[in-house]
Amino acid sequence: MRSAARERFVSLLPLASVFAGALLLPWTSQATSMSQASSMPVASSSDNSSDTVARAVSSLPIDIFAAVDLVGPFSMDQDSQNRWVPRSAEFSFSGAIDPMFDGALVFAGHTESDEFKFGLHEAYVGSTRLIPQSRFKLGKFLLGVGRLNQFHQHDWPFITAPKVHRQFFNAGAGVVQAESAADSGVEYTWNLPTEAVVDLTLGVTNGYCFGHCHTEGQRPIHPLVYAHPTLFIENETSGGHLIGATYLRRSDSVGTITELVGVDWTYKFREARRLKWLVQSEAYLQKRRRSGTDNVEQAGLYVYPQYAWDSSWSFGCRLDAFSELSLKFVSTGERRADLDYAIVPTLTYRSSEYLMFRVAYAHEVDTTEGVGDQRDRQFMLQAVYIMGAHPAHDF
Amino acid sequence: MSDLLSDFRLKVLIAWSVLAVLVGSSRAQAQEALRVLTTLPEFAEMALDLSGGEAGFPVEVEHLLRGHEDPHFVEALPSFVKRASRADLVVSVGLELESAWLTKVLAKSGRAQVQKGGQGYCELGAGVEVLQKPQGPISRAMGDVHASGNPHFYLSPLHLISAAKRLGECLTRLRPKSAEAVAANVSRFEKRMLALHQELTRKLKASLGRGQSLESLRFIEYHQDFTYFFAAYGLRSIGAIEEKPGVPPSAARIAQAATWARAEGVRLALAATHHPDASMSKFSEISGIPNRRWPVMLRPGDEKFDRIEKLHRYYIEQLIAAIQASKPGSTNSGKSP
Repeated sequence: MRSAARERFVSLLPLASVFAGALLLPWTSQATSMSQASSMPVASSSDNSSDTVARAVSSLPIDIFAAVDLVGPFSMDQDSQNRWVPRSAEFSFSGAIDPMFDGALVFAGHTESDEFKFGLHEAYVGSTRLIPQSRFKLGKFLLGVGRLNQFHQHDWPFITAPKVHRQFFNAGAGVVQAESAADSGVEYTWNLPTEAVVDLTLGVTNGYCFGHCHTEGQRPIHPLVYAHPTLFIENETSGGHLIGATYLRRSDSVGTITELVGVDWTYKFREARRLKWLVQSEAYLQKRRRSGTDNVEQAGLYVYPQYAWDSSWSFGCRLDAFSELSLKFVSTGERRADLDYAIVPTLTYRSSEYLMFRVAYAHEVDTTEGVGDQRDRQFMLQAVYIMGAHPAHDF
Repeated sequence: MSDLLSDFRLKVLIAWSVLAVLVGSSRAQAQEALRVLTTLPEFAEMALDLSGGEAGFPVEVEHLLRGHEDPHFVEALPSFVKRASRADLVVSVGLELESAWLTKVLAKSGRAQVQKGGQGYCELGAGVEVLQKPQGPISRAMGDVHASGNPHFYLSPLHLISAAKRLGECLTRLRPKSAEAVAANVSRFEKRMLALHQELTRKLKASLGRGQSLESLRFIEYHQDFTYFFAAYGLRSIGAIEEKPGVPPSAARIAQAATWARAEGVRLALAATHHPDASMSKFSEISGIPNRRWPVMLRPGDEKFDRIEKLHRYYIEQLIAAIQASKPGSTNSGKSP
């Protein structure tokens, strides 16, 4: 099964590369979103027709890119998972549909539970021009809550998701595979007309299947709703603090209500090409209740400070903590201490904005009162490359 | 229950009223003055100049960059989005200089008229004669090459005249009744830049030794930021220390560029203040050619560099001092402001 899945994945990669290459070659002249400027004199070509074609294609109002994320986890405690695999291959198309609306279409293939799955990750229409000081999306998209959840895996500052993210946004996914939660619905963001830089994002989605799903799920009693206000405080230099709060409420088909509240904080300080300091942190509290059963309360957080020596090299260390606050001894009903923690030092080398190598060591420990500690120690390697015009990044 | 309901309705009514006041007040402010948002501080100065005068119209001008940034690599700050969301006109260099961040800023602003193609979107690069347009197919193997050509025209007073004409068109589009006043201001700006250019050219020529010409002075750049500046004064840059644009030079490349620059009789190596000091020092150490790291944008708040004239006079004074202090091949370490 595993080898069949791997073969299927491997067989698709060349096809994907050819597909991407054929589509993207002309776009390299555009290199729109991330291009560093310069005007290096380039040898003139007598082949005016190919130049004309390249320029004609590059003027199309659409960004196309492919991002490949290769990951190799090498666990010292569970070596059956040790292998170097393409974690995901993503194809993204985005741009203006007409003078009023924009669209995005993102397909991604990835290995999940030893099986290669290729599917639609995002497909939405939206506008930044229809309603003043507002933007909205309609379709399937990554839920606009928290920090990490708003980015695809290949854009994260570390290799794998912290446990708090895995538990609250992607239940059931493995450590390596866990990614951001997406759903279909509508999301609206309003830039408040205040002196302070405040945005308010509100969303309503189907809620059939929360997290990263390949099934349709089951109709919930209520749709999923969420809110994410943010406040930005600009530095006198290039950067600032982005502070957000999250509220998310969902239900399943049998009446379990899950509420998630949290805060997120991102700090960036940039010196020209070098993102000198990045600090990213999120903390959440989740409460799950269902009539006839005990409430389940869980909390978790992570903090990731990262320092860059230059535009290529950076080092960060993530600290994770997670606890099931409502855990009790069955026999006595007394509270049972539970704390899972991890330390994940991460070294990143960026050859350019389009190619990045990363190595990390994850030391995870699960401690539950009355049970022996469980450790998982693993080294991880990652290589991410992007071909084409990757859209400009958010702060 | 009915009490609760009526209480809830009351809260909704209050919330909507507050929102209406907030939105209404922001609209009312927008009608008072034309809100111009520029990427570079230079363009803010130009916008003030072109809209001013007795026959002018009220403007509120803001700029996103403060002058110390590398304009290619800037964070798309939410505060930029905020400023774009209330702008009537966004003025940028274009030529893909700011596309890594301005695209995102405008997209998130929710302001229809400042989106690309909108009435309030103004790329000044569209109005200038662009140098170093690449010929033939381009790929990323060549580094970060701009398909539209070198975007650093704002370091030439002559190219700023073309840019001002383009900005005048954009302002007139939004304030057609002030077309004549804007045209007069463009003419005034043109005279100002021509006067500056003549003054600095005269100073440069006066500094030359017997038998020297401006064309005979050779320079090298870390990145081709100064191409338009050199072109404006008839000076000659032999090229860049970067082997490929946007790719930091290796030690081997620096050594190669140093040898090349010595052979060409280069007088001075120039870099922007945001370029790496270590690379420039290494270049000077190997070649014996002095280097200077200059600001490449105005720096509002810094008296030395807060006006176009001041920045350009600084360039020429520094250039003259460096030329007089050095002969080809003599050692002189670089200083930065």
